[in-house]
Amino acid sequence: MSEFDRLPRHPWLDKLLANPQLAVADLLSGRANKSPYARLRNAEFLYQILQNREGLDAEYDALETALIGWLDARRNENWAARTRRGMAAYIGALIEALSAIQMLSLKRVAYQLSEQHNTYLRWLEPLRLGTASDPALELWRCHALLPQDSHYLPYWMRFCVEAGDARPVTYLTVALQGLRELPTGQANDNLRYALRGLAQRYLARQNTSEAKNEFKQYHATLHYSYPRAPETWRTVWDAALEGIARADTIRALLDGKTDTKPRKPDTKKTAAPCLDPSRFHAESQALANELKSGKAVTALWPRIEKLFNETVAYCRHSGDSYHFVRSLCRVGDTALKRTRTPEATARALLAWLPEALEWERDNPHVWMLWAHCLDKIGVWDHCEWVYWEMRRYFPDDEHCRTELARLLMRQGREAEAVGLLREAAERFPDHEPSRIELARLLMRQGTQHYPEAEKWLREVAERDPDDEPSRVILAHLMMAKGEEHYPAAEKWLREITERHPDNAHSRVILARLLNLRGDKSAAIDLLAELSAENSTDKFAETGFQSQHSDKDMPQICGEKNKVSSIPILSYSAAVSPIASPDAPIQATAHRVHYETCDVTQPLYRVTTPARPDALTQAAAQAARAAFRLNLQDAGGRAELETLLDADPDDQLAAFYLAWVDSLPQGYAIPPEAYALTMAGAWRAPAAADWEELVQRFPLQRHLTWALRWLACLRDGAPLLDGDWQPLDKFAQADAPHPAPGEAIVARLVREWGRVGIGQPAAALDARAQELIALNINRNLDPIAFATH
Amino acid sequence: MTSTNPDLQALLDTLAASANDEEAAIADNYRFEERVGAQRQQDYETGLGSPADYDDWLGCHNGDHVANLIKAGGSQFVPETFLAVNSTLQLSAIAPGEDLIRLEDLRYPLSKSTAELTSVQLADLLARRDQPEAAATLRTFVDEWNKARDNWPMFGAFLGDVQEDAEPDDWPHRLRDRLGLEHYQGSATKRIPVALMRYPAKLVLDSAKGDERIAAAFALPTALDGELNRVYFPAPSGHPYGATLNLAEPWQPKLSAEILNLRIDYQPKHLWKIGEIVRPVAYRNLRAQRDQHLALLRRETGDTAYGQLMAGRS
Repeated sequence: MSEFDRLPRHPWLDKLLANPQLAVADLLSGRANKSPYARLRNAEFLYQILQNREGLDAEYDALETALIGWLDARRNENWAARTRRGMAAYIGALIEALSAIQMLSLKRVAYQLSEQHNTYLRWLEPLRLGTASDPALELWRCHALLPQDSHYLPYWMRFCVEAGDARPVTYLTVALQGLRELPTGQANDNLRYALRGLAQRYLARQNTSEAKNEFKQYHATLHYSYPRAPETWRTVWDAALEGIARADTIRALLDGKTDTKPRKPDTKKTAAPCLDPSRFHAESQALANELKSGKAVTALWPRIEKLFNETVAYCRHSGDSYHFVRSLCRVGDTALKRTRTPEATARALLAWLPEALEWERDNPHVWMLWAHCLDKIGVWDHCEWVYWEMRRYFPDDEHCRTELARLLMRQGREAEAVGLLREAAERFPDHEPSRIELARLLMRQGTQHYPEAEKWLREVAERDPDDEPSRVILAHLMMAKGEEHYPAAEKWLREITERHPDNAHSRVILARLLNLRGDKSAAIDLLAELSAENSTDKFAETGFQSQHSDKDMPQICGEKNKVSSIPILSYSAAVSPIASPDAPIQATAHRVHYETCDVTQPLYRVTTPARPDALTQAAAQAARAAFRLNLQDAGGRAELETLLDADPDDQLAAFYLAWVDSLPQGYAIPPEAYALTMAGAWRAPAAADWEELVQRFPLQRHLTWALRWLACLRDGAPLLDGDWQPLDKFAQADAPHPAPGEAIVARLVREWGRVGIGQPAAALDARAQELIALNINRNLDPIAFATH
Repeated sequence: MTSTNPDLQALLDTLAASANDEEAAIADNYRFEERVGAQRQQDYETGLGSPADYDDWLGCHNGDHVANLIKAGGSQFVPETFLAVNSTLQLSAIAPGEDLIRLEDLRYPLSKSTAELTSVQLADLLARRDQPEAAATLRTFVDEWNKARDNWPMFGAFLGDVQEDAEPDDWPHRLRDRLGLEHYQGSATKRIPVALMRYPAKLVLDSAKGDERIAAAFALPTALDGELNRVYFPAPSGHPYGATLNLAEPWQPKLSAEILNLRIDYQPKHLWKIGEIVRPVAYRNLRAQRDQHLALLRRETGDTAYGQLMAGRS
């Protein structure tokens, strides 16, 4: 070896061994003497002096330990410490640390980052300064470049589609790198995923010339980096396009490339039978039907589990989650709606949810199934977090509000429940359940609330002549109001029994009313008739028996005119998996710590129940506190302040406080923190430089412009035509809206128009808050993988 | 440059007299600087506070000044070099047709590309750039590289000035030495992939348009425009450009004009050559190298009082 083959050991390495923490801190703060490599970036410097690991194990070990410590120390700093030397310096140092991890393949640090992905992501996500200065992107690169399990596959597939829209275009590179490094077990699986990702990206981008050029460019790049014979390429393309609805569009695009063009699908299937998706729909439908018909879920479980296993195998094979998630939701929902479904079923379903949520994080049905499972097994606090996060993630979902309100009602938190139901009733005038639930709750709160309850119920009943619950509850309300209202109650019940003579429930109530009015024989006739029609109808039998034993009547109908006498209907039990309306009373006593609970039925696979992780809980807690704050509950503000005090990276808590201009004194707003910036712009839109905001936050440009529009509506000064047109054009375009809130904005713009439809300022305020909050913590895993 | 900050001046005096070659060289760089505007100097020295020692200065300069004002991140960031505060050093008379060259370290961009190319593959692509697939792959690499580059000032040289070192096969080492790029220290086992970039000045001039904050697209380099670097050497005010410290051994009596230009987006056609640096720099005596360079600068500019030789100082 000549002298040129040896570079002298750099003195910094001795400092590293002597005091790793100090050496790394000095390096990343610019204090270290890197000479003669002064002009190298810090990551490049480390690569330069540590490139060959041989003989440097101690140095590597010291560096990894120190980097973990350094990153955690930076993460735990408050904002004042972070910005002491300037935000750019702070972010630049993070980029260098994360880049060094990639360049030197520091697996121990990478493992640490992966283990605490959510914690790091939440810290790094708001610190993006641009495509080259994006600490969160560097975190993903660390995951992408180092060996991982297939946990990140859904992310890489998602990034392929979202890059350039919902997140910077650089995420496409990270996604393709991640797919390349994925341990798959099959030689061409990595390429197949990458091609599928590219195909899905192209299809999502609406066949534009820009999308076409990009597709061709990346296709050529993959072609270069995956050297395969043309026949292999054709085979891999065939597999990659399997199950894609518009695969012919891709085939047409590749038409000029005869050497790699995938074949037209033919009858000769090369894929393994279990990967054929065509039978999944029929099988899941059949299972759902059998469950509905009353077949025991335990008897069906082997088939259910087989279906889930096959669909998830297809999902992992193809990157297409449709069949897996739809099967899970359809079968899971159906099973949970049956009151006799055992808890173990919910536990078994929970075991599938982490994967479903990874693949379709933005699918409210998956979240709802998650909540229902938690509810079924009695973990109501976790269930509540899921609902609060649903309310934030899916602001246009009425169902989650109603379900959350039901849960809160069971816990005796009626003020919050009423707030939620009012919100839902006002926001969703065409949806009945929230109004009916609100009316029920108001009735429980006392006679002074009867008029409002009646208003809501009448709205529903008058709009929908077929609606049974509203009429039955109206009848109950009339009965509770006193004898003079019995005729009105009978009118409502007769309406529904005439329209739906097979509805046993309303006929039983009618029989009870007739009994109360003294017409006992008519009541008995009605129940006898009902009993004869359906001898297995327990409800009718119960009613029939009760008519024969007058002593039961006071318990059922209670003393007239007393609030507590209003029977709790089984409505909620009929539409949700919530088994008993009395559950809240038992909640504390019966709470199940499911993490440690054995699954006793060997039929089910060993479960690792999903639960909301600490960050999801924190986010939900912030959302709940903000809701309380909006309800004028002083506890809400205090809760937000406590959350922010405990964790300065809690962007959601910071945002909700910023919204009411209550950020703690000295809290420095990160330069690229969209939500915090927009909170200020919303409060004082005239002082905001909207053009600059659009430029500064290009990924949220449509949302920013929409917020300006909403602010103008609130302030009674509609946007000028010139400003309105681009927003209108965006809303009218038939294009996907992958950025958070964009789809909602597009719909509002279309429905409300430039001058709005007279929404009150408070409603616009709530809308704006929701839309901005959607942009916080969007990258976070909704689920932690419990290892108990 | 005489510091208006007494603490810094005291430190400069101490370091300049130090037996430590590197610390003396870096102090000289600051002391010899004649071209930094008064306002910029004052801002810098105010921001510096009271550095107690060399490490303190290093930390403030690299970790604060450079990290926030010269090499910060963000698509909206403009380095101080090109802002009005540095107007005395900005160049507006560069002919658009002039070709600029720049030696780029490829380790970072190669590690961040989709294709995860090696330098050999990149050279292969370059050789086959007429073929559509190679051209597309090259385009992907360059696009991704651009997205991984911040708006940092780019040191560049004029092709016409260094052509004799850019043409031969050994261009990576010759240009490395000629342009004073000491941080590219390769060896047979630590091969540094480099690219020789060649781009027209017009592209740089065009990139300055449309942003009112940018006072000029080109500037003369100073000690404040990069990290504290022992092989940087300021040029006297009479010199039209920067002058790189030649690192060749034996020393070559050549001054090469260097300038700073605004960041541009590279295009595949700017990738002129791909090579590797497989030898460390050969010079051994920093003081001798700098003194020879200073003597040459004095001769070329006629400013015989410029700077101070290191020989005999300690």
